Parts: sequence; structure tokens; C-alpha cells
Amino acid sequence: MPTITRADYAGKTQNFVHDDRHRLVLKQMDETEAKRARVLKEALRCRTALTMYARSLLGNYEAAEDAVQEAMLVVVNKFDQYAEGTSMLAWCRAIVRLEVLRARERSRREQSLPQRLLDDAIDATFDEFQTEQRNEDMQSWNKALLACLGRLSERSRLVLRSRVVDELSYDQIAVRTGMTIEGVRKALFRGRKQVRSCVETSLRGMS
Amino acid sequence: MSGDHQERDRYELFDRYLRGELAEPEMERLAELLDSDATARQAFYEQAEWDTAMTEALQDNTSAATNRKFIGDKSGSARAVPYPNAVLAIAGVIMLTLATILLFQQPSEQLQIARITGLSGSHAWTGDAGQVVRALSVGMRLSGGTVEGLAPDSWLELEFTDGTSISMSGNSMLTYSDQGQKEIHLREGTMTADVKPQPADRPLLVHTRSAMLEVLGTQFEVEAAIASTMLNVNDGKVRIVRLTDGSTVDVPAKHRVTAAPGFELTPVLVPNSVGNWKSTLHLGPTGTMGNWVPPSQDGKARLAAIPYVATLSRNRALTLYSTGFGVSHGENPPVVLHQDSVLKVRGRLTSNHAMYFGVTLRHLSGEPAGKFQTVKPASEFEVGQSFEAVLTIREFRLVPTLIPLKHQLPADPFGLVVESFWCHTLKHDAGLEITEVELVSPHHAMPE
Repeated sequence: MPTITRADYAGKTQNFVHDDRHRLVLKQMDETEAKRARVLKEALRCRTALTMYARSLLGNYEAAEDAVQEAMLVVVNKFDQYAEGTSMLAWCRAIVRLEVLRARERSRREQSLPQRLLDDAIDATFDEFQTEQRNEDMQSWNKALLACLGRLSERSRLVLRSRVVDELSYDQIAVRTGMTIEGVRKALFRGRKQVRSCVETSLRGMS
Repeated sequence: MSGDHQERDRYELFDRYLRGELAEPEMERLAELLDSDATARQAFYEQAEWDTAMTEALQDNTSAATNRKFIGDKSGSARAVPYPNAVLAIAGVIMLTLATILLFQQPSEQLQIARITGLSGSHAWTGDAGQVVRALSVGMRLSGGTVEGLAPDSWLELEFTDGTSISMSGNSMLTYSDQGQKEIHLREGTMTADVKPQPADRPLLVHTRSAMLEVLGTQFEVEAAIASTMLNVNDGKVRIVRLTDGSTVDVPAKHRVTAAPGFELTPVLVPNSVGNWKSTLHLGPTGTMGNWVPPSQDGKARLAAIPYVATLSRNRALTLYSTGFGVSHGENPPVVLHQDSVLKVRGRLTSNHAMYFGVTLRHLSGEPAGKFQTVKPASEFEVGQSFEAVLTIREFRLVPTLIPLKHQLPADPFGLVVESFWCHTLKHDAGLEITEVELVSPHHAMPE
């Protein structure tokens, strides 16, 4: 069914806008648009947390971003089904879960039994640890994280970037950097530990 | 094992999972770990959290800026998206632009002459003006061009608008066109065709380096090497012209012929199928894909795996380290699988990784029948030691990429002709070397 916007409605009914019935309709439309904006804003604040969830199921950052993008379009279309006051993160996560299934169908990947078991375990893990508060906390890391990444040596940053952004395998990174595979594995492990400890120290200092 | 090592092992298990690098046995291990250990669950969650935050932080400034614009301020100051409809409109425009770009990446609609009806493994399609598409998918419509199979397990089926279908397997390369007359140039490899009746004055032509085939409507297989062409006709009749001397012969159904210097260009009856087969690496690398190492005082001839890059999507590829053996090829009789058939694969690995063993199959009539495989976990192989993997054919299943076509393909591999055998490791070079592959069918040893 085509959606009629407030502007369309007001334009078509301008001669009768003084009518109480039309005023009521316009008021309801204002409320609907306001809710849509609220829901979308809240959903967008969960985007990183949702990407992280989708990535944990899909094993690929880019595919996870696509699934979250699709989920956001669902949020826009189904915003009226969200019960305000309940967990936005949980509502969006359920939508993302469906988008993950659709993404798998599109890529024609039939799920094996180990993958299904793992999906269940990951869902349980996210139910246990992913909270609204944690999502808010995560967003507050960003500045500290950027500063701490800037403190890494150029080589460590290249290794880290090759893995987390370019998604190269350990041996491909070894070729790119001229390091041994064992050297790459160690550098990744240490580099991440270093960044995490730096961010935690910065956040403690700020608080 | 020290605590630090354990931590790093667990970290790497999570890290590789988050990038889709785990084989099924490792997935099972991870599922068990998450189910049974609360600390592991927390560690997994935190690693996914840090990893995603770092990915977003390290992405280049342009995309980071775009993301921030779309998602609002990530610093937590709760800045609202002021005009959500406008944002969505912009997103819509971006999506439309992307869709347009993708549309232009497809072959031009006016020239589309064929459609992909089956696909597995890695391929590249080169069309007009050198446009190369590696992320092919079933249903994609193509204009005339060149298709190349990039790995021993590659398999692709194309259907022309008149219903004529051709399929190619392994490291094959063919160019096809249809400008009122279908023409196929098979540079190398194997193709089968099921040709609908063609106009008498415009038969389908298949060119290889050593022969030309004229086809009016039939089923056949062609195997092209540098100096020879082997034609096997299952139904109907095919005319073959040997290019070296221009001699011509009509090959009737159930007959085969080899066009090569030194071979008589006379059709012979296709031999009965057999149930047993053994590789002959000691005689040379003919019909194999891999790095052939001749026999020496130290040991038998062997075939070492070589890397192939398989394109999964526009931005994603993975490397497989593969070896391949042609089975029912050349002058050999067709080798058929039976319920009691067992494949014995002998070789060696220098590091532990899950191994994928598979067969590409066709019907006795020549029609393609898909690919079946079985996977053995890394724990079944000892590093640096010779192995013998004994694989019953009952454990082979249709490869995951062909599951969407399962209604068009046989449910099991029995009674089908083995075109080729292949085995590989995924993503990691495990130093795989195969010394011998043997197919044994105890109750079907003699020609049938």
C-alpha cells in the first residue's frame, strides 16, 4: 500500500485543514513521523554492535555491514512494530539475524551442522554479554582507540590493518610485510593487546 | 602449554572464525568451547567487540567520515540524525548508483546469448573490450566471451537461448559466440555438449588446436590438449576434421576418435566402463593438475599441490592448494562409481589441515552430473608422515555450491562416470603431495 506523507496529505486537504478531523489526522501523522525518527535514531546508535553481531555469524566484515544495512531498511519500514521502552538492541538483533539468514540464502551456502551449533552458541553469547550499556560504552572508546592506534609502530599498524580491514590471511600478510608467518601471528596478538591495554588505561584516566 | 600460548591459541581460533577461516572440525571445537566455558564466551564477545571497533577505526578517512555521517556521532554525544528521510534519500541515491555500477558490470543486455545454469569452483569470464568478471553466479546472462575454469574442481554449465547446453570442467578455457551460427573455441580442457538441432547450413562448430567439429544436434564430449583432440560421441553424429591434414570422418553414437599426429582417424567403439582405476604418476604428468615431481631414488613420483585463487564475490577470494587427476580421459575406458567403490589416496602433508577430496562426475550419456566431495579433519593426518586416506564413495556428498541445483543433479554418485579426482586444502599450504590415487570396486573389477 503506498504511504501518504504528512505533506501530501496537507497538500491534498488544504481546503479542509481547519476541520478537526483533518487536524487529528495531521497530528497522528506528526506523531508517526516523530516515532519513525526516534526509532531510526536509536537503531543507528546500535549499528556498530549489530555489525559485530552479524560479523560473528557471517565471518566477514563486509557481508556483516551489508546485512546491517538491509536490517536498517527493515527498521525504517517496520518502525511502528517497535514497542518503545523495550530493548532496541534486542529488537534490531532479531532483524539482523533474519538478514544474516537471507544473506546466506543469497550466497547459496547451506549451513552445516557445526555452523548451526556455532550460531546457537554465538546467539547465547550475545544474549549474555551484549547490553545497551555496553553498546554505549563501546561508542565512547572511539577517540581513545584512534589515539592508541596512532601510537603503534608503522609496521604493527600495517599488520593490524592488513588483518582487520583488508582481511588478509596470516601468510598473505607475511608476503605483504616481509615477515615470517609466526612473526605476523605474534605481531597481531601483541599489537591488539597493546591497543586494548592503551585504550583501557586512557579510559581509566578519563574517568 | 603455557598460559600465554593457550591465550594466543584461543585468540587465533576466534580471530580466524571472525574471518570465515575455520574448517568444520574447528567450528565444532569452537561451539563446544563456547557452550561449556563462560570465560571463553566472554573472551569471544570481547574479541568480536574490539575487532569490530578496530576495523571501523582503521578504515580510511573517507569511508569513516561517510559512516559517521550516516550513523550520527559515534562519540556518544547523542547527536540526532536531523533529517532521517533525507538521510535515507541519500542512502537510496547511493544504492541506486551502486546498482547502476553493478548493472554496468554485467555484460551488455543486447548481446546476451547464454545463461549460466550450473556453477561450482572458480571461473573468470572475459567479454567485450576485455571486461573481466570473476564473481559469476547461476542465472547470470552473458554475451559472447571466454570462460576459464581456474581450478581442478571448477565446473560450469552454459545454456544458449535455443536450449543447447555446454559444460566445462577443470582448468578448461573456451570462447563461445553466436552470430547466427554457434562457434566454440576450446583452447584446452574438457567440455561436454548437448546440442539442440541446428540449421543444416549453420552447424555448431567446435574448434580446438588440432581439430574442428561440425555438429547438427547431438551429445558429445571433447577433450583438447595442445596437439590432440579426443571426441566421444554419445548420441547422434559429429563430423571431425583433423587440421594437420584436412582428413575428415563422421563419428557415430557410442564411438570415439582421437585427432592427433600418429593416430588413425577412425572411430572406435567406446569401451565398456570399468570400476577400478589407478593413477600412473610414474609415467608422467599427463592428465594431472599440480606440480609433478618425477620418481627418484628417494621415492615415488608425486604430484604437489599448487595454489589457485577462487573468487567468492566481488571483493572476496580464497586460495586453495589443489591437485587434480583426469580419470576417464584420453583412451581410457569410462570409470564408473559403484556403491562398494573405495578411493584410496596416498600422499603426505607437511602441516595439519583439513583435506577436501572430491570427484567431478558425468552420466554415461555424457551429461554433467556435478561434483561430490568428502572432508577429512586435520586430526586424521600426521604431519610429515605418509598417509593413506581410505574413502568410501558412500560418504561423498554433493559439494555445497551445487546444493541449490540438487534437484537437477543426481542425489548420489553411484553409476556415474568419474571425469576427474581432486583434493585440496583451503587457505593454507599444507605441503600436500599425492603419490597415488586408486579406485577399487570389488564387485565390478571387470569391464561391464
